[in-house]
Amino acid sequence: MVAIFKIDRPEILTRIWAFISGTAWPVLVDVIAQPMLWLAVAALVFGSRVLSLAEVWRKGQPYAERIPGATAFARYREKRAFRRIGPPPTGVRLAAARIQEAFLGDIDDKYLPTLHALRLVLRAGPIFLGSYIFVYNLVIILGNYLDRSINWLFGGHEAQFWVRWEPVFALLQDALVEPVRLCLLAVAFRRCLELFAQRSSVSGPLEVAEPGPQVPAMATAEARS
Amino acid sequence: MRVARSKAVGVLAAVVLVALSAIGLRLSDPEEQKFEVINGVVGQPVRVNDGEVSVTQVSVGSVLKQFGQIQDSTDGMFVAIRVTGAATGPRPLELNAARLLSGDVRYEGYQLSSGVSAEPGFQTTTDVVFEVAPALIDDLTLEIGSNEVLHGYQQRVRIMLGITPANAEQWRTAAKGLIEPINNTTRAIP
Repeated sequence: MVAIFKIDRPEILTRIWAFISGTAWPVLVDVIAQPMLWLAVAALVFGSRVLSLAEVWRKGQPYAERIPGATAFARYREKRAFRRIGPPPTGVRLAAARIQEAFLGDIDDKYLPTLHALRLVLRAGPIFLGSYIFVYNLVIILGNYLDRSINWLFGGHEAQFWVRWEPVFALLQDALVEPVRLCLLAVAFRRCLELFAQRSSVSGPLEVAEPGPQVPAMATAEARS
Repeated sequence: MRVARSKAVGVLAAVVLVALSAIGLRLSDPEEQKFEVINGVVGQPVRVNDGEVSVTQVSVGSVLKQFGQIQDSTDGMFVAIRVTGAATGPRPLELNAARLLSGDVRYEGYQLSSGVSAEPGFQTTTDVVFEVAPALIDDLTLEIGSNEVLHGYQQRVRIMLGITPANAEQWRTAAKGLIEPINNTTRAIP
């Protein structure tokens, strides 16, 4: 087949690689990944009511329910057995706390919030994400043209000039562009939470600790904070 | 069926918006415009930074003679461009990065041949030498600017040398002989 159509495989591979490195990768990194990651960072900063590892483990059940004899409705025999067990010695409790912090602390502090933030962003739907990416890049384009305007206005100069004036121009540019970008991130994050809450109220109770009907209120209140 | 179709429309809309963003970013990319281009012609001085630069002569050859002896020969073509830089302002003129452009082709200076620099009140004339491929000399243009480690939006002078596709053959024919570029000569600005 390859011989009949005289397909030049190295040439095809070279062109595919050129497309990936020259077009696809820059688009992926600059156009898509950057706005998405900034939104995920916004979710981390504003907070998105992340579950801890222990909560994930429990899957929404009260911890006491998983220990025989710990609840008020447990059988008498189990209650007696539970009382006999008693709390572990202080040393064991301390060691357990230290081990938990050492091995699982990072999961609760870093990885779960990041994962949850990314999940929140990615589940917002293609129309929201497309629009958000478009508006985010519009702000960046505005910044680029501002940069060009400054260059056009002041013209080319030697390094001495730019060492002195570049911080002033950068401040001017940031003062105009950054507030718009931050507002966009805040609005997009709030919309993300709303979409997340809408979806969970349609498809049933959330995995988040509180029961279903209260979640939209929580989500919007959190966005406000 | 309706849900699947609306989802497909959503994905399509997102792809279109991402494509528009990519095009916008590409068009506005600040990396595309790193310097201000000042165009000039042979024989006319061009103002740049704290001075003026001009090209007064272009000579071609295949054998290079320097300090009274044959230095090198090439299967291609040597181009020697006489450049004069005058520091008319209060600071020195340093145009130490010269290259030749022909479409997408870029030729760097031959060996240590670079640009021209002059102290305030003085002008320096030198021949900047390039080794080029005779087949790739259409619209040959000298680009000269500062080679700064730390730089912002710079100025670069571009001077068309008058080698066009129409007369390129004549230049190739003329490049059979010997050229003897001059070294730096400095004098006070008259």
